Amino acid sequence: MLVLGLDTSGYANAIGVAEGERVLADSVFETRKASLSQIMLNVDSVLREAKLSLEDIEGFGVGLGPGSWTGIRIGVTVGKMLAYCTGKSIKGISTLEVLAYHARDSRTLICPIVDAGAGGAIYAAFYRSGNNEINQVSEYYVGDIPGLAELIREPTVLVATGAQKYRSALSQLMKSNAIEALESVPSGVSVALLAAARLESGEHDDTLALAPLYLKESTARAFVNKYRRRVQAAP
Amino acid sequence: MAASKTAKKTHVFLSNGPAATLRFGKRLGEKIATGGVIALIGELGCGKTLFTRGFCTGLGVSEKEVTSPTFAFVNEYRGRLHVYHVDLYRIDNIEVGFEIGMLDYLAQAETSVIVLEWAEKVLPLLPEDYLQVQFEVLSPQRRRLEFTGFGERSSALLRELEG
Repeated sequence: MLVLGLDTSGYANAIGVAEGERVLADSVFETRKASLSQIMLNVDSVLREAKLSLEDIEGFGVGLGPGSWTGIRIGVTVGKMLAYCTGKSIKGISTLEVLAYHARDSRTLICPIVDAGAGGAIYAAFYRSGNNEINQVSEYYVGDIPGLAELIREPTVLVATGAQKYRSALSQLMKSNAIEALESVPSGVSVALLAAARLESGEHDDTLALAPLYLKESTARAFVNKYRRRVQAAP
Repeated sequence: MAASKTAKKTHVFLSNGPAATLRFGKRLGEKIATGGVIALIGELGCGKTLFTRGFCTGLGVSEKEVTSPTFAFVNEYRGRLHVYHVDLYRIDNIEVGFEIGMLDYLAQAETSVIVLEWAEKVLPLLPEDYLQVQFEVLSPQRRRLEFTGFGERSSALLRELEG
């Protein structure tokens, strides 16, 4: 199945095309503020590069976040629009799973991390790889690095933009060298590959109802807790 | 959190009328050198929008361009620094703060100025460093403005304002 994948949860338009397990195209366009005005041109250029047209695409995958609030909305909305207009099915994939997928060869615990956008708050989750599958083995975590350190009890590979920075902070807090780091950005083709596997087994989302993964309540809680600690620590 | 990181500096300014509030905002706009967060706190009609208008004028934005974004949530102005003028009047709690993408705006505080009206509704979301302005209505004309600089950068800005 020919699937186009999109992820805009960071500050880039990541777009890729996969057919089953085969990668046909994969590009990351740095856009920062022009994500919305560029994305259709970016989709077009990726399709051209793969010598395909939109009509050839049989399904769509979109990265649902967590990540930049505005960023995610753009990719999810454009993905839904493309699916709706072409009458093809769509599957949303957590951006944390997309990152975890980049460490799928790891035998250790996999912990993708996404910056929550202000003041050192992060999103994370734990995954394990095995039998050609990535499985999420924890709830989503929203908080800070010290809080994440308390959850890690075994050798773990961190997958993130800025993974090295997180690794050194965690290694220091945990006084451990069992933490590895894999620098990685969400990729469009990974979204496409993960979505293709699910779409092929008949699993898909409601095109109109699909919504970004906003961990709103837990994010609010994490910020309120952080603020309490800050106020208590103030002289 | 180390005590040095929560460096705090306070300064009080008494305004005898709208023109003075506007002028004081303008001075802050002229002095500010980098991006940052300015948190405005005070009841309806205390002068938050007026102060913001002065502030933006100080950054070179035309005065009539600055209006209250109560219904739009956010206005953007292009001055010497980019300004996001956010009004949280219609926000009930922090969760709704996420709905309007507050974190995306706050993440730009390095290079842009984020002015927040009704900032008390989202205090936990604010970065370690921000300038708080608390407005108190003393009489129909007079206002008491208490400036608090949280963090190094905002404290330094406040020192400049006093000088």
